[in-house]
Amino acid sequence: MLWLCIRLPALRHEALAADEGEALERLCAWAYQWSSRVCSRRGDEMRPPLLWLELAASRALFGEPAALLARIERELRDMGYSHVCAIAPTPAAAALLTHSSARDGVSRCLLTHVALGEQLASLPLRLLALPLETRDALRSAGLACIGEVLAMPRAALARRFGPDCTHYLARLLGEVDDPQPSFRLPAVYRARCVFDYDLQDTQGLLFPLQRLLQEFQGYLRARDRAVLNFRLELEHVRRASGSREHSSSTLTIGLSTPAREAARFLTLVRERLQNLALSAPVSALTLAADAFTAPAVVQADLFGSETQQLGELTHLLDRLRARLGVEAVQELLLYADHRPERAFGSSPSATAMTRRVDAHTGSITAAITASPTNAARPGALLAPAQHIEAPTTLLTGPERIASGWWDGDDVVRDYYVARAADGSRQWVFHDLRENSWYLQGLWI
Amino acid sequence: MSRAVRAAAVRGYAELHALSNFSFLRGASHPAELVQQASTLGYRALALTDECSLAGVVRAHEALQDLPEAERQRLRLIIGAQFRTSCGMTLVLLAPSQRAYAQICQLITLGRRRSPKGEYRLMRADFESGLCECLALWALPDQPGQPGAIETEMQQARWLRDFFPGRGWLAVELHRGAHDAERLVRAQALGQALELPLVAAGDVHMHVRERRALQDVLTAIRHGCTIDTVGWRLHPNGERHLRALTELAQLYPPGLLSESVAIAERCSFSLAQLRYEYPAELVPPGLTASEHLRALTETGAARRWPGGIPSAVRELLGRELALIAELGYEHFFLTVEDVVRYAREHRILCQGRGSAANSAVCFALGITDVDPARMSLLFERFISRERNEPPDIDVDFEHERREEVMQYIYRKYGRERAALAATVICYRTRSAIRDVARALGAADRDIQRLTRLHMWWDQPGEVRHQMAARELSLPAARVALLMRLVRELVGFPRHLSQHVGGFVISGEPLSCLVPIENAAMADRTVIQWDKDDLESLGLLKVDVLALGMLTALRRCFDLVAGYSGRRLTPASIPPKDSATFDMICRGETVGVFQIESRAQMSMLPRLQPRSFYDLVIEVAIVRPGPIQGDMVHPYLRHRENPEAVRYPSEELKGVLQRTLGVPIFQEQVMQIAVVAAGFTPGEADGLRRAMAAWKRRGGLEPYRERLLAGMAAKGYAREFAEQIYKQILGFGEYGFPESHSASFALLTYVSSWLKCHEPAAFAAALINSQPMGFYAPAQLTQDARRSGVTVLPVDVSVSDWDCTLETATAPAGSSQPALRLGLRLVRGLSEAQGAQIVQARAAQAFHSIDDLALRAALSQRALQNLAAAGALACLSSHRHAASWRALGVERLPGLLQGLSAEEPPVQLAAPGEGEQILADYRHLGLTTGRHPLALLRSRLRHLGFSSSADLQQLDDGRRVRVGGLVTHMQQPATASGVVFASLEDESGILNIILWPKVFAAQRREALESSLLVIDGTLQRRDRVAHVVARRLHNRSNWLGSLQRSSRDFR
Repeated sequence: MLWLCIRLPALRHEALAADEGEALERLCAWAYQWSSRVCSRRGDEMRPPLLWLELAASRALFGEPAALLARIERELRDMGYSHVCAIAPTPAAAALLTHSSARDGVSRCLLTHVALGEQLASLPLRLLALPLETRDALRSAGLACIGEVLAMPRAALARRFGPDCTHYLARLLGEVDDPQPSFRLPAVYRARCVFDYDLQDTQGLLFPLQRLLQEFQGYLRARDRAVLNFRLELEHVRRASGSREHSSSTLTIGLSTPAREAARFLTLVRERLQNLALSAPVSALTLAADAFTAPAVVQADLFGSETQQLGELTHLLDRLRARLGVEAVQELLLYADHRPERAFGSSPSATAMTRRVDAHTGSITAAITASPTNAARPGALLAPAQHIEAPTTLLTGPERIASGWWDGDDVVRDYYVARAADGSRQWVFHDLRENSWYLQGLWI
Repeated sequence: MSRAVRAAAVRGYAELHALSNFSFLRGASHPAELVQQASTLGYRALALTDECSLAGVVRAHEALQDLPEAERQRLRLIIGAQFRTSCGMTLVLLAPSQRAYAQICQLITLGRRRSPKGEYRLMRADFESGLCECLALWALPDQPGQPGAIETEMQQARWLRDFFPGRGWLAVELHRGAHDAERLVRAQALGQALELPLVAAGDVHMHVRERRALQDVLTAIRHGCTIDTVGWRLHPNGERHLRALTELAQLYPPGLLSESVAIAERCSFSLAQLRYEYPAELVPPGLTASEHLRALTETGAARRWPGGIPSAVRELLGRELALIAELGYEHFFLTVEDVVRYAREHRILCQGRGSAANSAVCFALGITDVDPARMSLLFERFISRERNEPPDIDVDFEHERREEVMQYIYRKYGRERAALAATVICYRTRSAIRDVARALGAADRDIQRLTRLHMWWDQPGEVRHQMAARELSLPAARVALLMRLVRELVGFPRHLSQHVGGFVISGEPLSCLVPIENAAMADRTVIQWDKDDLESLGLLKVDVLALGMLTALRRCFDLVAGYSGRRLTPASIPPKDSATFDMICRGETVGVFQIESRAQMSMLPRLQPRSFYDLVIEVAIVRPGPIQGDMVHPYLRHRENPEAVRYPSEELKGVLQRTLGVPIFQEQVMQIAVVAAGFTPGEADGLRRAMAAWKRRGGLEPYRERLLAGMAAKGYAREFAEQIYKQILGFGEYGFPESHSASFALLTYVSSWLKCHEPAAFAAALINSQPMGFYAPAQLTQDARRSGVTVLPVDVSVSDWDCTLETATAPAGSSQPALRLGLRLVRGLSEAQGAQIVQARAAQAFHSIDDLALRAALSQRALQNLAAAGALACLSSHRHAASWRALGVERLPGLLQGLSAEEPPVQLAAPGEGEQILADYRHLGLTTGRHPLALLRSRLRHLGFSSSADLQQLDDGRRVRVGGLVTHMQQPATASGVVFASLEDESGILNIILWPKVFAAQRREALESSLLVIDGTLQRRDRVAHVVARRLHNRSNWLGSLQRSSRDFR
């Protein structure tokens, strides 16, 4: 057996993934195109994540290991992943050698099993994948390189560092088998990219898309499948007064014929994005495909699947917004604010802190008596309040409201119930700043 | 003006319900602001009624005293508190008499003591007894709300009438709310039905309505939300401020206003009436306190002067005792003497300091060891008849044993009569930015940035706004609000914490005097007043403080006694020892108390202290106060040329002669104010307190006017007066009193003497008292070795937990014993494990590593740490072999114990010298071998390096290259960005100066190097060599090369 180990020092960042498991999953699916034995190990604070491919079995299909290594490295480079590779007869040795490769960027290849121990002997012992305490303890006894560790009686090592230590050395040298849990291709494809910065325009989406599509291509090759359509799910974020509102939208990309070439996907996606105005900055992007087909089969009706999804409310809203403009679709909300005109409002989209109400009647809006003071409030509010002459008959009041300095609309008002000339009751206020009067509400 | 308004203005108004910012996160004004505003508005009285707290009343009381005489006569300050009962009633209790005051104190104590820090819990039943003299106001809720609430309200009103007969009122609080009219009607109905009188009150949260924004922000902070989401929890308007009488007259019926005045007139209690009762048990029956103090003083004096008390001292004692008796301070001295006696009997080293401590009486009583004959400090200088302030004695104890002393005080007086003073923790710029920014909706990341960069806070307004706006995602308008609100919030009290050691001890239960509440620490209680409050009311407190140096000195005395049989005490150290002063003048003061810092050490050769009083000055002068006040250089100049000193006047000569015309001590500034500006001693004392607080609160301006005017009147030049004022500002909170400096200087002298004559014991004692002081064990041992002490490695066959002294292993001819490092230095070894080793060894010496492991029951890790630290050298051929053996120790159960399988021997190379030294540093923090730089020296010579010893031979201004281990890196606040680094090489310490530009450009090198190389220019002044850095290089990897050079591998 011959193992290629790929060390990915900046994976999480470069893969734009929410977590490393997600990123590794995507790359495993991609790597599966060259080998049916792919496995991975997540990283931790000390060690970067690793990816292994068994190459001996792939010789017939892909040629000599060195040639395949060159091809794999080229694709990794194209996708923009930093990587360090090494090839060795055991997974542990390949992983260990990546450290040497990292020093000068030349990938180490140890192709034969012969004298593996001697070949590793001069390397410093810190490269051994042993617990830090074990390595420290070995060093405290004056040992410095792998050869010196391998020269120690195994029994003495086991007594001091437990069987895990000697078992690792045996796996390193290929004295025992090193079974690794193999990666299995998922039946549906789903790859998500999370951006460090919210992307403002569709151009910015193209770079990560390029990589996602390339990985997707790897997956399709590995499964020997093609697709007729796939989805792009955009996760949006909108900042509003300190909080972040999340939403998402979906683009379905359809193809006239089954395909699996990244380049072709990219052309379609690019066209689609050109005509798209982003409703809000994009914080994450998911590429998903559920249905696959054999590469040759042709399917008609491009848009059949799209219409089925219209039932979903968010989708409907997205489409309505797209057709009518974002501002046309409004939801009515309640706010806790002493200023009457601020106690309710409407917004293009719902926020978590408010609940919906279902009334909406032009410029005179049904007001809500939600103030905890239970103060008498009229059934209808004028928005905006109307400037009036000082009323002649004040029935009750004043009720003073002074609030709102924090949003640039600080009001200082005395509210009264006044009797109008026609006998109706009006809710009026005296603006103490301007020394003028306004009509804000009516009892109808 | 309507008739009603005019009538109200005549009858006046008393605000009976007002919260200050001592109702934390509720009140938006300082107590003093409320008092001043109430006076300005012509109120007849103001009741400060913070929520279950009297923490702000002393400040209000002080503010009242500060008012002009006429206003003070008009306004009455009423002490009270507001409570919210568990059933939801808001009650305000007022103290008409001292007894009522004590009752309120006890109620607050009850509610606070049963709750976690900062909270309280009171049931209605708690109000039903024990409050027989208090007046009670029930603040009627805004609206009845729930159905059935009318009945509840009726029942609550009945309760009030029954339990506060003739002393209960319905408080009507109108804030131009929606229900004002109904509320008044409801109250009137209730009042008529139950014959309860009504009174107007304001539920005041701020002194002026302009504090509305701040009050809203406090509400948001209290609820842990932002101003955008706090919503209905805000007050609907800003009416909860102290309102003008005309405005009140429009809102309230006249009867309700005049009732407030009637209530106020029943309240004659003032904090000035509080009398402090001394604990009586300190005076034996049949004696007066005065007689007892005299007797104790005479016994003590006989001990201090076994050969007979000199007549001058006898006379001094007589004068001091007479003054103490005249001022009635006997109990205070007796209390301190009692605490100190306890410490002495339990061999806990202690030392008093403070104004009263430097007296012959205190020396005789053993409170201090500063022989008054040693310096002409006059007790009267510190305690004056005119200054109406209590004497001040702080006592420092060994830091590791102070708790014993505190427990003794609690035991002796009980928790009812002894408690710690509070420290009021106030908003500082940083915490204010954090809380306000959060309330204004800034993201956590922004807040971190803001607080980290709060240096730009001191920039002028516009710049500040721009900078902040650039840094933040907040809109510019919010940033402007943030700036304003932070400025208002800084200085607001935030919570009460415990004072470091200020005890109040009383004859009566303390809770009659001041409420007591729980501190954060379990079993600790604090009173609701801080030390300024206590001082202001003339209550005595005893400061029981912790000082690491005392621990080290006691250990040093014990070590000296142990190896030589000589028992030293601070008082028995020979004074005026010239060898000691020579050493100090050379700046060789590593580890010495107070003068061991880099700044102090470089000052010493210039200052050339040759007497005890020189040390007193040295201790006080190298501090931020004198440095900022620009007093150091004039003093140095005058010292070089004392004849040239000119005094502005004869009277100032009297004040300044002892410090060569430069005011250095806090006392001198006050004296200048008295003699040159005509301050009364009381005013001077006010100046002292304002000096301590001006950075936080401001408030020095009136004193400036007074000072300049006073000095002008006495004919002093304007420039001189301004200069004095500038020095006062510089003193700020750092001003150091001579009375403290004198006590500290004694410890400085004692520790210097020990370092000079007992360097081994001194170094051992300091290491055993770690962590303390400026220097780590590595520097302390290097320093000891430079003074000829042999330092022996840690060794399980001889080392104790602490460092010890060995006379047998000392080199022949040396008068000093060798210093054996203790097991405490081995990193990762616990004290318990150390004790097991010493115990097992006492039974029988260890014969192998397995034997050690077995008998001392050491863990694998402990053994490994010992092996790596080289402490097993006696049991194995070398460190590598010891580690390998230690790793192989097996712990077998029962019968198999000690029958571990034999192993075939393995070949392990011995470590080289460099490797050993590095292992020493890694596992001990120091080495007994050569200094790492000594190993590198030949290589360094090739590269043109100078050692610290070489620098002594080189000329000023030469370009040099030096390198060493970084031991200190400091950026003093007073040095305007200059960074001082100390590097250590094998021959001493290198002083490096990094100008701000250099530091900024090479920050990484400066902060991340362990071996730092400097290219720079030698600067030499008065025997002190500095290297002014030009370029920095991180050469830490050279240390790693020591490891490799011994053993070669790739």
